[in-house]
Amino acid sequence: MSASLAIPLEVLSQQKDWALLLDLFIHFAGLSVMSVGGFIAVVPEMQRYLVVEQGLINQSQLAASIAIGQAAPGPNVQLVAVIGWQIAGPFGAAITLLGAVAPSATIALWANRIGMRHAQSPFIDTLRAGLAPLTVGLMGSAAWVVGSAEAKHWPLLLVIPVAFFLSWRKRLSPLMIVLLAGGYGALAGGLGWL
Amino acid sequence: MSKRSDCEGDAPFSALQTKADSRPRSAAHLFWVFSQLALSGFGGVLPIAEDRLVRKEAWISAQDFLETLALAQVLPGPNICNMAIMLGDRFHGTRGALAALAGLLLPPLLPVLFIAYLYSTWADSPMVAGALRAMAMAAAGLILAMTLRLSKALKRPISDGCIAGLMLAALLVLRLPLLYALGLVGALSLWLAWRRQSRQQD
Repeated sequence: MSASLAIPLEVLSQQKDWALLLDLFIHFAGLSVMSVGGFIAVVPEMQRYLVVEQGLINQSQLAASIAIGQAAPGPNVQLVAVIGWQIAGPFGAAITLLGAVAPSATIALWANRIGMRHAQSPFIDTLRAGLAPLTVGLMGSAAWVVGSAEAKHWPLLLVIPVAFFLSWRKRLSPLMIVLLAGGYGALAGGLGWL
Repeated sequence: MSKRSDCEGDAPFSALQTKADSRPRSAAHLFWVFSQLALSGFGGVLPIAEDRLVRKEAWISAQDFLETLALAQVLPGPNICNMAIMLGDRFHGTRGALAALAGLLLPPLLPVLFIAYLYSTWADSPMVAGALRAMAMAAAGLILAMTLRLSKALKRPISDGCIAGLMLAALLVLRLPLLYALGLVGALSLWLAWRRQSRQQD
C-alpha cells in the first residue's frame, strides 16, 4: 500500500493559479470565523468543500493531514498548511494558514480590547466567572475524544494513566512525557503488539 | 478581578517586584517563549502552555489562565492562538499579540512539513505508526492532568464542578454539537454567575 499523503515538489515550478489561491483564501477565512472550539470543529465542513465538492484532495489525504497536525509540534491548526501545500505548494500552505488564522485573530484582538477596557464592569466579571467551568468540561471531553480513538488497543490505552501520573505526581515536563510515549509506541509497533 | 486590585494597594515591595519580574520583557521575548511552546508541543500545545506560562514563567495565575482560556474558547479560532493574542496584547499591545502569534505559528511550520514529507514515505512502518498513536494517547493523559490542575482554580468547587460535569455530559453522552452545548450550558452558567453577581451587589 502506498502512502496516502503526497508532498509534491514539482508544484514549485508550476504556474501559480491565482484564482485557486483566492478561492482557498476565501474558503479558509470563512472556516476561521466559524471555528468556535478550534479548527477540528470545522473539519466536517472542510471535508465537504475540499473533498466532496471541489475534489482538491481525497479523504485519506485529509485524514493524514489531520493526524500530522495533531502529532507534529505546534498548534493543530497547522493541518491547514499541510492541506494547502498538497493543493498548491508553498504558496497554498501560506495562503490557507493566513486565511485560517487572520480573521479569528482579528476578532480575538478586538474582543480582548473590549474586555480590557471594561475589566471592572460586572458584566465582564460575570462572563469570565461563568465561562471558566465550561472550559474544564470542554477539556475533559477533549481528553476523552482523543483517548477513545484507541479504545480497543489496551497497550496504547495504558499510556493515558501513565502520562497522567507522570504529569500530575512527578511533574515531568510534557515534552519528555510525549517523547517517552513515542519511544514506547515505536517499540510496541515494532514488536507487533498493536 | 479582586486578586488584581489587591496587588495594587499596599502590597509589600518584594511582592511588587516579583510581579514585575514575571512578565515578558518585550515583544521579542513573547515570540521566543511562544515559539518554544509551539516547538515542544507535540500532540497539542495547551498542556505545555499551562506548564510554561503558569508554573515556569509565572506570567499569569492558574485562575487567570483558566479564565483567559475560557474566553479564547468561545471565540472562533484555535484556543491557543487566541490565548497568545490576548496575552501578547495584554503585555505589549498589538506588537506583542502579533509576536506571540507569529512565534506560535511560524517556527513549527518547517518541522510540520518535514514530518508530512517523512510520513508520506514512512506511513506504512509499524514503528512510526505506533509512535504516533502512543504520542496521541500521552496527549490525552496530559490534557486530563491539566484539566484537573486547572479545575482547582475554580472559585466555587461545587456549582462550577456541576457545570463542568453538565458540559461533559452534553458533549459525550448527549453528543450535542459544540455550538449547541456551549449555548445551552453556557447560558445556564452565565445566568448563575449573573445572579450571584447581582446578589453580591444588593
